[in-house]
Formats: sequence, C-alpha cells, structure tokens
Amino acid sequence: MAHLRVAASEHTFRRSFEILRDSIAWEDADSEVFGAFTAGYHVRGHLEGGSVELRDDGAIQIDELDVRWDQFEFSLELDIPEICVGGGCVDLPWPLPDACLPRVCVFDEDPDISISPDLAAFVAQEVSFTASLDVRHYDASSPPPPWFDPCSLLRGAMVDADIIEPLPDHDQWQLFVDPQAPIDVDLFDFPDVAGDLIEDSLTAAVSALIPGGWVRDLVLAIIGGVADFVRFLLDIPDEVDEWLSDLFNVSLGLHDFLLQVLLDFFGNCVPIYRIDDPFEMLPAETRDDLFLSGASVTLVPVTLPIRDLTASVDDHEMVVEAEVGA
Amino acid sequence: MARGSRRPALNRPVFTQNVFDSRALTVLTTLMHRFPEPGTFEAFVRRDGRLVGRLAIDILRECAERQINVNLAKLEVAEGTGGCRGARRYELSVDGLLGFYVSRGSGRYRVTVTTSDEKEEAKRTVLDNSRCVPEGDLFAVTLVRPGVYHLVESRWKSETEIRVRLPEDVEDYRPDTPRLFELDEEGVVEKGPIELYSGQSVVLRCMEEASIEVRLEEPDESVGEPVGKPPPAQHEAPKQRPDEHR
Repeated sequence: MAHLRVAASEHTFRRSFEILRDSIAWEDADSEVFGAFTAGYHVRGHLEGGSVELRDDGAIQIDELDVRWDQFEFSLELDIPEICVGGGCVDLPWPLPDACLPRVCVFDEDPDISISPDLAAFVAQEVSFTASLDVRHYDASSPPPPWFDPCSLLRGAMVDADIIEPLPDHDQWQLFVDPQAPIDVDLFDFPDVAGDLIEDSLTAAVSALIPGGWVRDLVLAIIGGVADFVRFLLDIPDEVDEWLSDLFNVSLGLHDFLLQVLLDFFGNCVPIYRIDDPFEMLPAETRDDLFLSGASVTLVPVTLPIRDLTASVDDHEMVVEAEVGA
Repeated sequence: MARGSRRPALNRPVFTQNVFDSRALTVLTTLMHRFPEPGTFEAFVRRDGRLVGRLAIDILRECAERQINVNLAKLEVAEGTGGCRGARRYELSVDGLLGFYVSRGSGRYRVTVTTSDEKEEAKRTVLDNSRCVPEGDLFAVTLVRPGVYHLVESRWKSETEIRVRLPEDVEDYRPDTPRLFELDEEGVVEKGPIELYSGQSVVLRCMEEASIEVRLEEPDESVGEPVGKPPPAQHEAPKQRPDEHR
C-alpha cells in the first residue's frame, strides 16, 4: 500500500487544465517564394474554451478547444511583369525573314506590390484530442539532452512572458496531459469575405501604380483587367479563399506548426502538476523564542523524499500515489 | 491595406510623343535595315548630334541571326576608336534585318551605316536615316495616344490617315499585332484610313526611298490629356541639317 495518496475531483482537475490551457500562447513567422509572388505570415494565438472529461478507461477527453488568433498577418508580394506596347511580327515575302518589332514598356523598371492584411477576424478552429496522464521525474542534476529540445524555445518564451516558472534547480515529479495521436485540429478554412479582402487589396495596389485617364484605360486593356491580372500572377484557377486555405494548410505549413506546438506544449513542455522532490512539509523558519536569551534560531525546512509516484484517472477523480523516504 | 509598393518611374514619352519622323528616331519608332550582301559594316549612332554608339556588323552567308534589334537608348560608346575591341560586334545573315529602336527617353537618333568598298577604295554609306529610309527597309511606328494621325511621305507628298482609338470593350486585346503596309511613290498602297487600337504598330515597307513623318493632328479630346502636357516644340521634326561626316 502506498505511503501517500492524494485525490483531486474531476471539477478540480478541470480547473487545473483550464489554468494550463490559459498559459499556452504561440507566435510564428515565415515566408516562401512561389515564383512570381512571395507569401508569408506572422501569427500569434492562444487557446480558449473546450471541455475536459475524465473517462473510466483512464483517458482524459479534451474536446473543442478554441484556437483564437490574436494576430494573423498575411503578407503577399507580387512581381508585376512588364506592361508594354508594340511588339509582334509581320510576315515578309521571301527572301526576307519575318520582321519582329521590339516592345516598349510603360514603366522604367518592373514594379512590385505588397499587401499585409490581418485575417485574424476570419480564422477560427477547434482542437480535440484524447490524452493520458504521463508521470516523469525531473532530475535537476542531469545535463540537458544532446538532441534538439523543442521545449527549450517554447518554455523560454513562456518564462520570459511570466506565463510559467522556469525549470527548478531541484528534482521534481511532473504530471503531463500527454495527447495520444492523432490530435484533431481543424484545417484552415477561410470564408469568401477573406478572399474578397485579399483581392480588393491587390486590386487597389495594382491600380495605384497606374496613372489615371486614358493611360489607365489602355494599361487595363493590356493586362486584361486588374482582377484577372492578379489571378494570373497568383495562378489561381478558383476562388481566392480556397487558394488561401490551401496556402496555409499545405504550402506554408502553418497547420503542421500548430499541431506540433500543441503536441509539444501538452505532452513535453509544460506539466499540469508539479510535485517537488523532496516535498517540503514545513518551510524554513526563524524563531527567537526557543532560547531564554532570545537568540534567533533558523529551523531548516522539513522535507519528505517522494519515490515511485504514479497517477491514474477514472470517471470521478484523479488519484496520485507515492512512496516516501529515501 | 497596401503596406508598400515599389513605384518605378513611368516611361512618360510613351504617352506624350505625338510626332514620329524617320529622319530622327524617337521612342515608339523602329527602323529596320536589310543587308542584301555579305560584308563588314559599321554603324554610328548619334543622339541629338552627339555620338553615343558604334557598332560593327558582319553579314555572313550562313549560321547567323536573321534579325537583331538594337536599343539605341542603352548604347554606350566603347573606349577606343575602332578595331576588334573598340566596337560592339553583331553577326547577321544575308538578307537579315538590323532593327534600331528607342525604348525610353526623349532623345532623337540618327543612324548611319557604312561599308568599305575595296574596289573603289572608298567608304559607301548604305543607311543614313536623316536623309531617307532606303528602298527595301522598314519603318515602324507604335501609336499610343488616341486620335487621328497623318502619315506623310515628304518626297512624294503622299498622305494617309491613321485613326487610333482605345480598345474599349475589346476582349483579349493584344498590342503585339502590327499591321504591314507597302509604301511607294503614291503613298500607302492599301488606300483608305488605317484603323488601329492604342498601343498597336504600323509597319511600312518602303518600295522606294522615303522620308516618313507621322503626326497627331486631331487628339481624341474625349479621353483627356495624358500624364501632363509635354514641353512646347519638343517633338517637332528636325530642320534639314548639313550632312555630318565622321
């Protein structure tokens, strides 16, 4: 029989998970060149809502956590190709070759345009996963692992932001809510209005390059209209919002990034519970009533070494058991 | 929402050039000279009287380009006065075309092409656009501003009307669809006004020596001014000037 046994109700566990959920935040930025255009993003987000249920089979069911984007800046830079008049060839009789005229271009150099709308208001996703409680013993004296530790960056950022405390300088038992694959994260699915926003921004940027009056009419006739011109440059056969969704889900890899952040955070980086080893039963104390002389005496803290700690859940509660002593 | 754009300068003369003269090449004009015989030639390019380019041209019977276009606005005079390293060299096939055009700016260009005639022990000029466009050569003009132009051949005093309008409601408009006409002592062989869309080109094949001017006579007032009025008297045809010798 275990020396130590502590139970927390489902309600208490749920509250602890909410504190854990509220501590997670992420930020990422990246860009990729796709030939005629460069696309990138700068995003910041956090989690809200969701439900937590302890199951009789020992699993923890997390459903419909909301992914909220505080910033979802999408940057797009287009290289506008030459816009020219003249050119073309005429057929001359033998023995003359066909004569091809040079083109004369409207701008001295090829222009480019860039936009960076914030799409945070148009992006919403949910996360669901099944997890198990994973118990690990943190040894403060062990050197860091020789391989790349993804938690180092995530933990470092959260410590700097005062979201969590840094790794302790003493040993510790740590309980993780370890997600079991697969984590269900909704794909990016931008609404029509987001596509319209992108298209309107690009149209305005291209139109700003062109002078007014009949010059504008001529240039628009040459490029076949700004909207079609933009679609040609981006190579978009369908709606802009579908292209945008594919860009983030596949090409830019933001969906994979989000998956990995959630896996790392819950499963590797931030435990839901920490128990110091040895556990401090009574803190250090300074007393001046122990000697008749009134001299101060500092009493060392009373600690209890913990070993063989285990944790389990059923549909009512979480139970932690351990042995005490060296 | 547009955070920033690199706004290059507009090539303003494309929209403000209203007079085009074969005797002084400007933006939107192209002169194509045909070389019917093999040999070695030299071309001298002058802008507003100042030498800006010198080219060596080898006309070969085989294995060479059939057409080369030279942008007069981007020539640089090579150091030295001649020889193998003093001039840019082009190789062209017999009956090939060497096109001279201007991509930007307001300069007016004169091109002379000479060859050495060893039998006569003298230099022979095969092209001097300030005098005329030789028989068999081509002169092309790209017309941009909407309106009515008059094409005048000054030797034979022939005149042809060219009407240019904006390609409104034209699907798949293509400016790179030039129209070819033959020009003889009676003028443009195909009679009647020539109709063009803004940005398209007229190519004149000279069946006789010719001096050609295309001038905007009636701008289409309904479309308004382009990007600002041009400075006065900038685009008039040059007065006759004495031959310049190297």
